[in-house]
Amino acid sequence: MINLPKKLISKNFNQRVTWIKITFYLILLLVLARVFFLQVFDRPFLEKKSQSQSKQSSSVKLQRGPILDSSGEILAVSLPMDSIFAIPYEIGDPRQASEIIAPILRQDHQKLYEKFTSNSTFVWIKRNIKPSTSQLIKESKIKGIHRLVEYQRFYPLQSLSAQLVGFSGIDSQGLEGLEYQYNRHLMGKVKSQSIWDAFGNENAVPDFRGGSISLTIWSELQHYVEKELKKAVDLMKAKRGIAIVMETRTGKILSMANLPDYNPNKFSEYDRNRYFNRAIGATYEPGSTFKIITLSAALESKAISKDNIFFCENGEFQIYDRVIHDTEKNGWLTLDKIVQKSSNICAAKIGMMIEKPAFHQTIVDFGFGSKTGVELPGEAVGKVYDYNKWTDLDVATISYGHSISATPLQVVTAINAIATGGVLIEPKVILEKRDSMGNLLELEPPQRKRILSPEVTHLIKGYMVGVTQKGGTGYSARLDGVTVAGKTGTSRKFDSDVGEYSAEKNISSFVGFFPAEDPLLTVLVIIDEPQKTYLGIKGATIVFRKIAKQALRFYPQQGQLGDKQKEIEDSQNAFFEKQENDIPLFNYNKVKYKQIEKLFMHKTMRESLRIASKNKISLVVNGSGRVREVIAVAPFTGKYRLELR
Amino acid sequence: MFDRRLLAHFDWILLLIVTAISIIGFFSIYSASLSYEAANLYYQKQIVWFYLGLGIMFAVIFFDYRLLCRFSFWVHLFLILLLIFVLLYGTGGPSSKVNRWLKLGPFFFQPSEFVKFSLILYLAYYFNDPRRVSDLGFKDILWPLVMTIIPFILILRQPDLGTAGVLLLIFLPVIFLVGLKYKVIIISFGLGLVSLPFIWFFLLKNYQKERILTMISPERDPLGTGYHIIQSKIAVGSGGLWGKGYLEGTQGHLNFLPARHTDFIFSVFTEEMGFIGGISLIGLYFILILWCLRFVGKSKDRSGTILTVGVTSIMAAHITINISMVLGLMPIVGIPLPFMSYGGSSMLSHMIGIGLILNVRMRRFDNK
Repeated sequence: MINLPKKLISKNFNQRVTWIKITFYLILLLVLARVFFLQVFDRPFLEKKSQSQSKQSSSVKLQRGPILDSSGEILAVSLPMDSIFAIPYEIGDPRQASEIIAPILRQDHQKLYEKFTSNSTFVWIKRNIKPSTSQLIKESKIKGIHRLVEYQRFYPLQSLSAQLVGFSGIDSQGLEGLEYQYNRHLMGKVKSQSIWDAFGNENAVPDFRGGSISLTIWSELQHYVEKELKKAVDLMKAKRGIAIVMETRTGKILSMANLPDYNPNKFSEYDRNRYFNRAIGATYEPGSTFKIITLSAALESKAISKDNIFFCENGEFQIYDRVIHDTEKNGWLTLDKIVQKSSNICAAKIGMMIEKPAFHQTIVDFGFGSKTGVELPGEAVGKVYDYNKWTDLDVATISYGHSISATPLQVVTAINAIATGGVLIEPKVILEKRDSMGNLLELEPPQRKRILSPEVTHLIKGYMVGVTQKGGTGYSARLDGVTVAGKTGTSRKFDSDVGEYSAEKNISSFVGFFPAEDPLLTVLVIIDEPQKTYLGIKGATIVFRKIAKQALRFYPQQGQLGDKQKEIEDSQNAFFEKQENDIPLFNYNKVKYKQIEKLFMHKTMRESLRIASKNKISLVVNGSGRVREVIAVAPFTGKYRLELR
Repeated sequence: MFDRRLLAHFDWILLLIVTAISIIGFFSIYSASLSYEAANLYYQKQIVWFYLGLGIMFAVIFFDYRLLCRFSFWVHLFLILLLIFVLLYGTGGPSSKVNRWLKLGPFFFQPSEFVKFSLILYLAYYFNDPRRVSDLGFKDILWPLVMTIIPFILILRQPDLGTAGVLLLIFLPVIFLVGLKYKVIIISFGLGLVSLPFIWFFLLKNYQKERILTMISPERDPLGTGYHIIQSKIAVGSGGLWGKGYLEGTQGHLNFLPARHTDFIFSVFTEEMGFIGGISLIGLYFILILWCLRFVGKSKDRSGTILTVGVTSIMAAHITINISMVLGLMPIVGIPLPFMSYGGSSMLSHMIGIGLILNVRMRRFDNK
């Protein structure tokens, strides 16, 4: 070995070493600067991202509770969907793995093989597959093949009551409607220390489920209401349509329709405006339907008596600087005719006779200017000004439903108070609330408040029946054999661009209840900006009639009603003979219920189902063992739920 | 053959630094693999690899490096043949996209990990010749260049851009140190710049181009190739100044970070230990590199110096490339972090490197 010069590397060796060291220092400095930048400057942003990711993964792992209608029909449900992915370097034998997996997923094994041998650390194999398929993959026990369980929200009835139910986003958070309002309940309890991982290791993830809610919505009727409303809105080339069906005695909302609607399964494809539940969130000037409130206030405060007659000025009446018109020229009219002909002039005259505080109090009693208390998010309250600020002209216009605004739900709730005989009932959309174990949770009972005397409501009911008789503005809302009490309303829309009421744009509405003697349902239909006529009428009356007819057809006592028809030759007379002191008892199908209970009690599931099919009774069965309880699910569906234990 | 006196010059401090980093590695691997199915397996295996590495290190020390240099040409040639063999018969067969491993019974063997050392040894041997000192022109480095370029291309074909790049990062500092003329360096640099478009359009594979593009803007493909970079940046960034605390990192444990116990161990570490932990670890690596270069130029002969520089270059290259890619400064290439990343090949190969440095250092007073 040569010894002497071997230590000499090169002439300027030290200089060159320094160069290399400097290069290394510079790179290190760059790295440090980068770490500093990421962890100090970019931190807030990156930290948020990190948190949102782990949060997202935690909610994906939860099975959101279902939303059902009153008959047990599923409106929203979360189903587990498995996604399969591979971590190629973990796979021992890609050839064998691809040959096992390919037939299960019905994929080409060569393509799978390519995925398994790819250079990346993570490849999706197939997303959103059925749990049964995923189970097969799990059983194949191939290393490197993983599953990720994600719950996906489905709305099986598509757009049905979409604005009411709302929807939840991809991260399983309720974004609109009841999905938003009951998000916490539907999500159940999340333990704070439970954080899930993106690979969804099954051992690490206990089965967390949220609670469920059942709605008062009766989807069969809802479907029909939406169909009829859509037909009318399309034919009249209207901008929007709203319909609410309320069970008179209980304030339960059986359907609530908003058009145009959207499909919550693909909510992102629709205009955001369609998500909005205008039935509770948008206000309008109720127009002539409000005359009912005016008359109630006048009679209740004894400003007028039922025998008073009023002069309707032959269709033109000047109040200060303003001239108000009626659609037809009328002279002297009785109260029932004023309602029947819907005279603005006489309504204004009556309104101005009421003491302002009393009038205001009645309006507030009817629920205007405050939330109805329905369990829905985003309720509007409408505008009811303080009576100190009312001018006489204001009182006149309020009397026929202008200078005041209300939500459709407020109007139907107010008119429902007439139907119940003077008791205002808080509207409800939640029928039952259950926790994740299926235990019933207590609900707040609806508030009830007497706001009118039975005598006054009796009179008002009579006037409203007149509206659907010959010569009334709502004649086309009449039904064969069933007396309908109602009130039409046409309000011109206030054009905020011009600053005055528009001549072309108007809102047509009809609100009413039936059968007038013993009301079952209170219905409101609103057609926003109708352009053309439907069956000769440019308005909501015809839709009301169709909904009412159909609702009665679903009604289990339909046959009895048919019989009643003969008994009640003159239904109007019969109605006036009947005295109502308070809300009638909920007993119309008690007898039937007793029979059915007897039929099913202590039977097994199999026996029950046989009996049910024989007797054409529709059932929802819950539990196993023998029948311990028979529950009438919704009053009109004729459906029963059997609790087996 | 092995002189007891050599032990007196054994550099214990270097071993201490390496052990310290490895222990940090065990803890980080434990944290990173916590959510894996067999969580304990990984750090336990890593400890086993560490001891095996120590064994190999002492084995390397045992043989005089000058002896190793003398056989280096044949070893290098043999490994080049193995690389060709890998291309033909590596795991997965010729149809597979990646074949880096040779299967020897139950073991997987990655020849590219070892070519790095045979190249260093060969370069040390080649430039040990006193005639090849200073004022080297292009002709003088042609042969070493060929010996570098052949395995470089073979590894590039596997394809493994990272390891291939490391070969160049061994070659360049060595020829720079042995005295390549500055003129040649400047000319080559110029030529390199000119040929960049050529490399981009003709040499790089699509996925390699994709990686470079996503490094520049990871949002191009947040769920595909950009995923690693985005997730890694989130992990490091959300650590903040003091970190989330040991075993408290969410990015790592929630499986958002892929390959986190191997290539992305640094993100796991900095997420939990924060900026303070990050600079401490980088500082430890910095000390490691400086310590390796401490006696550079003071070895017994030229080959010793070249060996030291070569091995240090490998480590420095691994450290800077790994950390840079984790921080989104470089495209993602499969380069593990020395002594931290989980993996037998990486641990063993760097232990061989440390063994070579110790080997040279111990024998700097040896008059044999």
